[in-house]
Amino acid sequence: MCGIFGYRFIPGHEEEHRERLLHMASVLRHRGPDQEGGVIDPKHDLALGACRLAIIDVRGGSQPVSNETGDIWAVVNGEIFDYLEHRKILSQAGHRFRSACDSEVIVHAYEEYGPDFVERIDGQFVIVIWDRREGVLWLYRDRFGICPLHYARTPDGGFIFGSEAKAIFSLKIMEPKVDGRALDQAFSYWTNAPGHTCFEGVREIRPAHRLRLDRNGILHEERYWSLPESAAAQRQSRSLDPDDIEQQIREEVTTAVQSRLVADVPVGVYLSGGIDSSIITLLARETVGPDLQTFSVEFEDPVFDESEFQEIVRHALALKNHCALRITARDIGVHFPTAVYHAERILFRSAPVPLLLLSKEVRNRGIKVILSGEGADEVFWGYPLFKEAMIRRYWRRNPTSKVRPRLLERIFPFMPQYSGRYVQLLIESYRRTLDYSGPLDTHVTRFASCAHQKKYYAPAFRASLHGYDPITHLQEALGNDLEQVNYLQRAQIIEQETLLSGYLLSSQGDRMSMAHSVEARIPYLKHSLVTAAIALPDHNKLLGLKDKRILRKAFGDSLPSSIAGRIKHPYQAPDVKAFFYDNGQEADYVDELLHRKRLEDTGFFDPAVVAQFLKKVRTTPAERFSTQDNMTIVLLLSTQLLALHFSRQIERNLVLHPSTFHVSLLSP
Amino acid sequence: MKETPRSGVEGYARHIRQYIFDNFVMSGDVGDIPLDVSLLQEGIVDSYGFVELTEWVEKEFKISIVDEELVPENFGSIHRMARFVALKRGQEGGRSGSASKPADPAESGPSAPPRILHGKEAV
Repeated sequence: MCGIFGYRFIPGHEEEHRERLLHMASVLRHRGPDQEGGVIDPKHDLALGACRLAIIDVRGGSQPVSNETGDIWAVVNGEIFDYLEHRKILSQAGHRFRSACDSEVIVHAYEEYGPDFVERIDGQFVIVIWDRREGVLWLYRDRFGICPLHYARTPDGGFIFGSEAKAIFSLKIMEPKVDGRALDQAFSYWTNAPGHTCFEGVREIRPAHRLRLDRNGILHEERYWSLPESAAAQRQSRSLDPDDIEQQIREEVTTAVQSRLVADVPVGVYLSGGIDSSIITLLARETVGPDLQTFSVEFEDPVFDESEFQEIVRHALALKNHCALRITARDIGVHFPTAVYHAERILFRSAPVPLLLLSKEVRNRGIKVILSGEGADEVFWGYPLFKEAMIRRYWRRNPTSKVRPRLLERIFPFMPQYSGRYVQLLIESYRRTLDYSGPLDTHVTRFASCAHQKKYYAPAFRASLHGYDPITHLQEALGNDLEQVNYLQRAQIIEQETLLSGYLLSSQGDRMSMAHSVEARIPYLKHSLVTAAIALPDHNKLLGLKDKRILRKAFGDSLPSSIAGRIKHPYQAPDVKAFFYDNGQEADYVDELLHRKRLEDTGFFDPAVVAQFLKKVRTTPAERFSTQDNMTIVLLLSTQLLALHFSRQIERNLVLHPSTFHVSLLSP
Repeated sequence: MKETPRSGVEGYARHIRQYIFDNFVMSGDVGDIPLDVSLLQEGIVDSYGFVELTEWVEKEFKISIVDEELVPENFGSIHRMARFVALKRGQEGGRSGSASKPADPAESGPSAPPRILHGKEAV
């Protein structure tokens, strides 16, 4: 992985271009501390740069890379896992390679296959290609949005991009201003609408999309891959034989893990103790052996702690190098502002912070690459949300049934309102949305829960939204995809486009690992695996209330039964408790950020309502904080941090390294 | 200043409404919270909020609520809660049998009789 950045249609002398690249590199250095470099094409008002995290061909693979003639240049963040196959084919076709690095394959593949080359590659990536011959800049993002790319247009028609938005702001052409609509999106479904960011004027490439910036400065966005279409194609050829299916999934998952172990540096595994990461650990252990490095987060607070299960896996697989990092609520409070700086998003949970601390530990132990179990709960329908959608539908067919809604008790056994005592009131609250049947109906409970957070809006801010509806926006953005699939597949696609891409892979994934130069690889999101899984008959994933059935069937026998049969334990961390402590103390920035004056400065929240909330959390015993209170504190603090501190945090990181930054200057 | 629980359905209702305002609604005017609509169906209090709310009701009004009483008939609206509290307090204070008579003449919406369990009989 790397940090990549650059721009087009911003004129300047060579020295000005160089200075700009140095600024952008300085704020992305955490993503790639091993090598920095750029290319400047003054004739085209273009510059590209990269901070490289060296993983494949550590010595040779410096960036940017070019083809033999120097008329095609690329900067790449991420990994092309099948690069060796492509390299072989491209060499046979006459392409000459200077390094053994996967990034170099890109420029030759582009030359050979044209802009559709991306459809052929298996990877997690953002690729930017400068085609001097055509005067066209191409930007590609992987199919699920594992790697990030932000971009913006300047008032003068310039185009700027960077792995993280901070690279764009480092040029000081634009100021980071929190976008009111983006805030409303985060307060409606925890993430931004696809393609949007928290900042005014800054966008993201959507997963599975590419951008083409033509020679006239016009930007074209195109999708190059679609899960529903791939699934439809796959269904033509699928076998319905249970043994074939089991074999197919076992092979897909095994291949996915093996392909993600390819590196010239050691690869570790994040082990949560759930079935998904345990399967990855099992398969990686088969290749790497007992020395495999595994990493876990442990919590002081037993509500969140999963160390008991991590121990079971460590013992069962005889892992010799397990590192468990113990996290306290205060650790989270202390590091929360840093996490928000890296995430660049409004957060609704503190759970990214422990992963920020874990990646530091990983890096300290000399590991640059880890595998993560992210994605399995979307691909194999492990989240309670899928069960909830199924129960609602089953109940709706017989709304007077007393028995059907009682199934709801069984989907969130860890939440008190789902216990038998409260079930009648729970059913009453679900009844409210029972008739809702739009394309986003599987997510209506989440929307309803989030809506409670909007009471904190300042009246003037609410008025400034002019009736904007983030849910309609989301529905329009997902459009056709939702019409081509059944309701559980639809739930999966909505999850992938919102929570997975907009939080799990970004705020909690890439941004937290790359903060300490650690690349997270996501085997369950190998696209052939995702396609195979979505095309399976539903009962392989969810049958009654049994989830991830095929995954449990394919690998259950190789894992301890307490792991293979384990129900989903959501990875979460202390929220309110991270900022308000038992002895009455608080994280030192709480009062400053949520002070009346600071709230008036940003204008998003009503100081009187926030004061009422603070009064409540300051007088409530720690174990009584509700889900809503936990969400509120993280939403409020992260928004205020982005609005008030982000700019200064960027400023502090502008440390230029001119002597080690190598620039290629292209002659006109 | 915090209102103290007063006897009488109206007094309980005002007290419960103030608690709901302070802890869940927070913005606007306490008087805007309707007394006779379902807080759950209107989304005024979410399902976890009811865990907090019922625990508070038990403590504040010194009553104990059994699982079977946690039903919309008793908790569907602020007035229903107030009526339920009044009945429970009456019952636990030695009186019983008032469940048959609507305790709140102001209640206007469609209503179901409150469900109160007297020992084992209603299970």
